[in-house]
Amino acid sequence: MKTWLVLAAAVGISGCYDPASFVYGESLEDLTLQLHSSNVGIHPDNSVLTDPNNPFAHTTPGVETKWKIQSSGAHVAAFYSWATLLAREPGGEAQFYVGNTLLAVYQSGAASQEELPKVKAQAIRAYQSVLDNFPDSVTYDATGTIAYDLVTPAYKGIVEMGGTVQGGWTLVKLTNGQDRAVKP
Amino acid sequence: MSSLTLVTCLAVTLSQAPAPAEPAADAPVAPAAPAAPSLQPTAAVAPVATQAVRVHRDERGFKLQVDGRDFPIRGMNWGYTPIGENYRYSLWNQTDDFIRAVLAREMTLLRDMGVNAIRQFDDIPPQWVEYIYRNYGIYTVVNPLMGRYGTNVNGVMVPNTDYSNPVHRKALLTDLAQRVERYHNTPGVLMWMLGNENNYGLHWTGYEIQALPGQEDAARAEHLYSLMGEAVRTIKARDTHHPVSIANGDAQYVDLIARHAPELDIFGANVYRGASARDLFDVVLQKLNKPVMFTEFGADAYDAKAGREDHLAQAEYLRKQWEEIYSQSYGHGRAQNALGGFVFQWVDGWWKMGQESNLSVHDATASWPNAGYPSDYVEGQNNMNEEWFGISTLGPEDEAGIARVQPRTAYYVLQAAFRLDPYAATTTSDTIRQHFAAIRPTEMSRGYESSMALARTEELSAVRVSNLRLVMDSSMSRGSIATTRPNLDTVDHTESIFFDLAMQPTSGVYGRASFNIVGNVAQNRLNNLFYENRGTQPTPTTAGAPTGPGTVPGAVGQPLGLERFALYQAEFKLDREDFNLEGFYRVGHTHWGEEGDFFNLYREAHYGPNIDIYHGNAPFGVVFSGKKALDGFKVAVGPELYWGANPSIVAKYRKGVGPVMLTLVHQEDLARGAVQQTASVIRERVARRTALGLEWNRGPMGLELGGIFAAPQRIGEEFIWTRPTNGASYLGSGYEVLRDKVQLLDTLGAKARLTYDLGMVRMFAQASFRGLVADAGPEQRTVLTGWSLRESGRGNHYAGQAGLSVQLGTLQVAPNVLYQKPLIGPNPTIADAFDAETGRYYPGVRPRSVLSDTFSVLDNRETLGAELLITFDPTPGTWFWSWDRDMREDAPFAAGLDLVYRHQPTSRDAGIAILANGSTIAFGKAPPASDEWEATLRMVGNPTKRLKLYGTAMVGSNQSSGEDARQVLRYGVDGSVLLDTLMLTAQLRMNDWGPYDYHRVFNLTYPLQAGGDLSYGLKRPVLGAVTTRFGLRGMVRMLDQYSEGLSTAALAEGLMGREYEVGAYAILSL
Repeated sequence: MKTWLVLAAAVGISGCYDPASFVYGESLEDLTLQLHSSNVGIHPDNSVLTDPNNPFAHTTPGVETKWKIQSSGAHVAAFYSWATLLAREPGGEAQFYVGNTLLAVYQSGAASQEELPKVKAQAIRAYQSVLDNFPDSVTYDATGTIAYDLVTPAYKGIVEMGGTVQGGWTLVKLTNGQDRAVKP
Repeated sequence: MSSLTLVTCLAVTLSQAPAPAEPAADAPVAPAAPAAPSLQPTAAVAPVATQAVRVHRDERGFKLQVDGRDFPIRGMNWGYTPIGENYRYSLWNQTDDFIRAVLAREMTLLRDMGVNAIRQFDDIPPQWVEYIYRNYGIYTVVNPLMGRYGTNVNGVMVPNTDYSNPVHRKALLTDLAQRVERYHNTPGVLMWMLGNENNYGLHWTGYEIQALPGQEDAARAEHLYSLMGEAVRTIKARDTHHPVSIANGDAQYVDLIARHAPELDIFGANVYRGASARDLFDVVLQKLNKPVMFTEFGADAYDAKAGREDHLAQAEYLRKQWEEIYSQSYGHGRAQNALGGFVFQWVDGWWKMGQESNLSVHDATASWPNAGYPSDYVEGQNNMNEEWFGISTLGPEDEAGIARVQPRTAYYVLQAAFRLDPYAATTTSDTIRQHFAAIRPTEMSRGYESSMALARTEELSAVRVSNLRLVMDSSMSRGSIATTRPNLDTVDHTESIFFDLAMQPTSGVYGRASFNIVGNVAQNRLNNLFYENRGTQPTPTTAGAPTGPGTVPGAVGQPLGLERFALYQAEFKLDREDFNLEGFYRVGHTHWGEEGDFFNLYREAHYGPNIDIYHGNAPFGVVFSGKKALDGFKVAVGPELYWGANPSIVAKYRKGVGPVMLTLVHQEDLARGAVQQTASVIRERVARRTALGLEWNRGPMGLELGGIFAAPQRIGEEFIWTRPTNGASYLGSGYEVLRDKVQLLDTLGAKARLTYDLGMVRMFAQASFRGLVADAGPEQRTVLTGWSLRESGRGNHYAGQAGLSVQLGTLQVAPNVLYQKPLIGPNPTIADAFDAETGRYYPGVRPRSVLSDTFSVLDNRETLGAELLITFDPTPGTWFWSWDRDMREDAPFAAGLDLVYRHQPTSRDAGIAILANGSTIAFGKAPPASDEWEATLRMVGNPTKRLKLYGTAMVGSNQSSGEDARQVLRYGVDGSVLLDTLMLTAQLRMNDWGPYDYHRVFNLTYPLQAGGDLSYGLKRPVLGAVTTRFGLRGMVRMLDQYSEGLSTAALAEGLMGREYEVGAYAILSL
């Protein structure tokens, strides 16, 4: 009797223990953007980490991987990549590329028709967040030594999308002919 | 009522001098003028043969006689324990000059009072028994405790004596026989007294006094009193000159005494029945047919009902008690079997409540109820104040370092009472009554009431400054051309004041708050993390690198504004009839491991200096302890009950069910703690844990079983794990990567431990299984001996451990082996990848961390460990492996060698670092799989009473707790020399980490660190207390590429650096 009880318990225990599944990687193509929350992708919101649609919710894109994704044309995947980085390690570069990828999603229509106006608005907010939260942020070229400021392209991004730049920022032309966003 | 206090300090006296020649047989011994105090009395006084002390009996009753002369026992439980000390203090360990000075003051007072005997536990050396007798005419009752507070069994101190255990019995009787041989020829010995309320000890759970038990321990009492009978026979076989008595708890089990110890000469008992012992004399006469001696009796001098001192009530109780003793003595018509008694006690014991803490507080907590004292008794409330039983008050030390005593009214009342000789031909029951009626305490109280001691006590009893400490420190430091510290002398200074306010608004309520005020704070210290430096950045400014360019060690913030003022510690206690309530903030507490918390959910919280260094705010919480109907129930709640705890509540209920003891513990994290102070103490994820423990003991065997259910909140959480493969692997890493989720079985754990005690050989074995998230606490208890190799308390592992302790005389050899393995091993570091052609993303894998992952592998990493602990300790009563052995160990020489080897075939998950900005990060990798080992030699020596030496030498090969792969082979020696109050300490460490946690986290080592400190104090240093000291210190350290503080240029050029500091300090403490 005892033996049967032990066997029954063992079978019961093993039966209620779900087996693990192998990780093979997943396709980032065919992702469609659905904004998980009203502030997703805007610092300091980190709701993207709980977005079931986010392929990076349980990982963090590596230093090289994020650029590969960015340059692959998978705009939705790139958005999730940068938004995840922004949530985990807040910085102007991630915030700028959130806006950049949202702009690309909008322009490529990689979201449902109902979502596209929200995507556009969210892209403008992301660029504005660069100006508001990371005014000194820069990005680097492949050598990692030359910095480009990000506030200027963020400013231009807002304007390009028909938005209005907030916070007193303005665009000035430098003596070398280049534009520069400044906050007097 | 005596307690462990008595271990070091009790006695009795009679104001009678050494026997003059040819005394009258029936006359009391006449006091003689004391000789000049001398430690070698035989040189000044004619040799005195061992006195013949016997109990005389005739038709008029019983009386004691010394060399044929009547001896009414007017005794005192005497001891010397200054404020701030506790039962560990022994007058007899002080210098001879100091002992003589104390005796000159206190024995003179006792002799003048009329006391003629003192009761002493047997730590009093025979030379001082004789000294007291020859110089003050006061006899000593030698009182072996017979296992009341533990038994030395083959060199091992067993805290709870098992009187049925033949090994324990043999150990006690062997020890007794040796003591009889040591004392029986000593002039001044009056008699033998066995034990101290050992019958109560069968029931009480600790050394503090509790409510008096009933007859529920009768079965075990049989064994106790059969041992006492053997003890009487053991003494009588070796000493025929001195009678044998017992210190029983009242008249409990007197039938057993009659049956098992018929050879007993005198029935002695601690009697706390109030003004009258009622039928006790008659009961003893009827059942035992023996004389009676009160080994303790008296009254406390505190009115628990009114919450104030009441020395008049104490004096009145004692007056009535002594009148009864006189009237029940030889020839006065009643029981006629009273020989006298030993008043409890000479002076207040400030340490008795708590025994380890608040030693400088005169605690007015009443700890047990007694309706025999109606003056302050209230039904259902405690009224016996253990710290107030002295017939003298205890004051601070005088300029000679001797504690002041101020006789209370009772002293003068008894002085008057003792003038009557109960055996004089003219003394009748009427004269006794008249004599005592004429003694009026109110008329004798003026001296005491007018004393400064009383005035001050009354004035300060509600609120007072209980401690004041001033710290002044100056330092000069300098770096070298290779260090970021400037190559020029920098001088700075620190001033810091601590003051404590103690409050006792009423009986049973106590509170204390300690504050700190900082003046200037030195910015040039080499070790720049300390309490006053509250602006300190606790870690390097760059993660993972020793020091970045421009980073200057010691460049820390100066406290400003309100930061100069801080609440350093606070605590309160509320003692009520049905419960105790204790609150603590940065005041340590003990764990519940001894109370059935088998999974260590409520941890020890004594942190030494670390809590100051890292500005921890723990422990912080409140503990409720039930009594009576709620006995066994405890609840603790607080923001950080122990360092690293989340805001949580812990509840425990413990109850005996038949032969087993069951304990249920539940811990609930209420939120996640926000602040992290140091990498070694990390607040982990919120969890809920419930554990059930079972204890069962039978003879030498003990069995503990337990199960735990932990962190059900994590059921369903996904996690990634890996396993090595020789086939196709994930991204060519050599691993298969799997995704899984936490399930119910992962929240369960179980543990079992078996111990077996054969006296000379003791052993234990334990096994455990912990589900992935079944985390509990690390082992808090000391199992058998002071092993350092212990199983992890973390979940995700299974383990087996076994140890053996063999006592070979004064040498203990204790091997210990451990095997533990995680259910799921650590994660390797695998970089993620994106295939642009297929559009597939391959997530990376990184080591888990306690900050965010479901579980992790840290101290539960796979380990096959072995440890050999060898201890030489000829005085096992002071356990060598206790935390305070340096000061407590009293052996001429004791040493312990601890060898530990850990074979670790796999790595672990990520360690944690706290960056300069206060953010907490997990490292991206871990050190590789590697074995570790340590060898530690600890030594303590006491060549003379004035000189103490202690030190430690270590060598080990260990890994960083961060991510660096470099394994460190490190060496260190430290030693201290204490000569009276002069202390020299020195440390030398080679290739070792720096002093702080982050040094190990970032693997920052120094080729050499050396330091020394020479200080002079007004008294010997006491561990855990800061005393007045004046000192000089210095330290120097060499820097290489692995050290913090080497400049960038020196790093590039491969230079070594050097920095040093010298300083002077003064600490003034009340």
